[in-house]
Amino acid sequence: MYKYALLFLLLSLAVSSCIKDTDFDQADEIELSPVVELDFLFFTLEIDDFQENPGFEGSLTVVDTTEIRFLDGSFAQENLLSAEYFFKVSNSFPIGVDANFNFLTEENEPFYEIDFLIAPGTNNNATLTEFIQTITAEEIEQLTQTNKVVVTFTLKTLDENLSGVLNLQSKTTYFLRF
Amino acid sequence: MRYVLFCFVMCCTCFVFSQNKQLIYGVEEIPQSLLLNPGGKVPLDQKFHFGIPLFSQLHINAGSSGVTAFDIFGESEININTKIRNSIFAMKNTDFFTVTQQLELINFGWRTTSDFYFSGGIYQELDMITYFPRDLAILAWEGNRDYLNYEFDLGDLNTSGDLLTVFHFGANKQVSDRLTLGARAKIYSSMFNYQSTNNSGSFVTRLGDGSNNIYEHVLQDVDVSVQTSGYGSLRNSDEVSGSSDVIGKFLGRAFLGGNLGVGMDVGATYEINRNWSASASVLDFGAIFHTKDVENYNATGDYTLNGIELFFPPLSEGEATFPYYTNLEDEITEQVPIDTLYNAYTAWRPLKMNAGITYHFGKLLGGNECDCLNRGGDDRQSLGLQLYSIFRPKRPQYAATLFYYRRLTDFLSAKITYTADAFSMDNIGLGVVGDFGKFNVYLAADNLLRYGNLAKANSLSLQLGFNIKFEN
Repeated sequence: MYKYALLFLLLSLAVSSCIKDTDFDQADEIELSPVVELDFLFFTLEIDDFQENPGFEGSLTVVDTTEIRFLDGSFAQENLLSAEYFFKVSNSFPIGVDANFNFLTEENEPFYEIDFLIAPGTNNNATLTEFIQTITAEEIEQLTQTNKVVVTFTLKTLDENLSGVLNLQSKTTYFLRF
Repeated sequence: MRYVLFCFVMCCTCFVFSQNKQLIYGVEEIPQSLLLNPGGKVPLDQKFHFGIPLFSQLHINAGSSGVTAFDIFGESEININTKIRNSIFAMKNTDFFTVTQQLELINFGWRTTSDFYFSGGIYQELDMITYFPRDLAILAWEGNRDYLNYEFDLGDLNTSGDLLTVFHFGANKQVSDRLTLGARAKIYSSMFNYQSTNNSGSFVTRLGDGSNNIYEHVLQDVDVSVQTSGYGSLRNSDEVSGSSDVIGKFLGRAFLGGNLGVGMDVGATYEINRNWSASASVLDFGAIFHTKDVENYNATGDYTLNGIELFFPPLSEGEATFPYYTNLEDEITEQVPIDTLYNAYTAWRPLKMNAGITYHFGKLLGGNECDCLNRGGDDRQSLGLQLYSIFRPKRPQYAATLFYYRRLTDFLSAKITYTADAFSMDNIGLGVVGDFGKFNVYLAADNLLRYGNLAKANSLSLQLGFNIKFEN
């Protein structure tokens, strides 16, 4: 008789096996929220790089543009929660410098702008300016419409013999969620 | 993305299997035990057998060495994301998830007048293993901000999988009173294969030296490759336009239309004395030669990303500046190119080894002394130890099993096992085999202690089959 009991036991185990005390609906709550830091732009400027430009009367300026193609990609649009730009600028020009980062759409429509003042150098020594721009969840939709940035640095002078060096380093912190 | 993660977690926690069949090994009443040891004992009165087509062996085995479904999806106050994070950090890059499934299509065997027992058949097999890519999981889950100077190891990517059909034919013979030998030749017909097992390199974010930008994002000594066969043509919309085309292609490959390979099994059983016997087998010593429908990808090189350096070139009206972003993309693909190659490759089958030592005892139902070398006894019992190993990409996996076997009646036998392996140290299994006239049926399952809640099991194994046996 015990052999039938054994067979019954095995079949019972197979039939009665179950998964319990689990909640697979929790899968809906799974969120990856990595924080990615990535170098952004860097450059060094001397007085020879600056020139008079229309629209910037009484000033010397430099302007350049680069694409940041992934910004308006579907990944960024769907998963970028917020961002933070960090700029570290060393300036030995004896006057302040206006820094402007204008983020444009494919059609060159401005959607987001970062603007800050860089402190002047003192006695030919460089002064360090650090600036953080936080792009909140409310603003991120604007940033992710853009795919290029126009960088404009302005010296409030027309003195082309001014001596000094400006070095910029920057990074972006992307707060992702998917 | 989270659905991909969900599927990954589910696969990792619910459907992970190995290939150990400790409940069938050495059970001579089951014809399929010859697939585990071609030199196993075949009852002397067994003249002929054939498996019920498609039902002679279904084997499903899954295992996760580091995490269970309950660890992730168990009901608790802890948020699931915290549980996933805890699991990621608790697991090692040597933890693995495996899935093995076998479905026997045909199995047959017969005894010749010269006492050879020939057997053969066809079975389909799926075998996959993925090592936990710990560093890549941390990078995906946490990002790089809090991991400056930490070298994420790209070598953590280590996975392989096979979907194939095996055609086999073997011979078994008791060559002396004590020794039984056997061998089996195999032809493998691969339907699909992938492997990415010898990767190296790292990704690290570290503070720059001040000459360029704030950080340096460094890919160093990257050598990452994925080899596939049977995959490229599935992406060809001219050849495959729906699931019926995919099934048709797979069926064609299943019956010797795919990439072919050869292999063999060998085994032996030695009766040391009246009570003791030892056995051993080596399975799947062979390889598949992937020459058709091969598509491989390989990324190699070193690259340091500093961001984009602007040069502010003097421009005339309407003149475009440098294509910084395009140049950056080109530079990366130049330094770390991803090549698509179509060169043939050889995939070794995962070699398996079994060994066992058994102490036989018991007595006949009538109360007479047992003739333990006469397998016709009705109350044979045995105790023993079995060892199993399978060669995997990073390292072999091992299992040790203690078992107790009992012939309950002349038509019913049972085997109970305790197995310690990479998955758990408390795996209790039970197998029952019955010979109801000519009809042979067996059912075996392990990790019975987890059947109350399978979500807490690190591994599960189930074997089931039906055969017809003819005796003298």
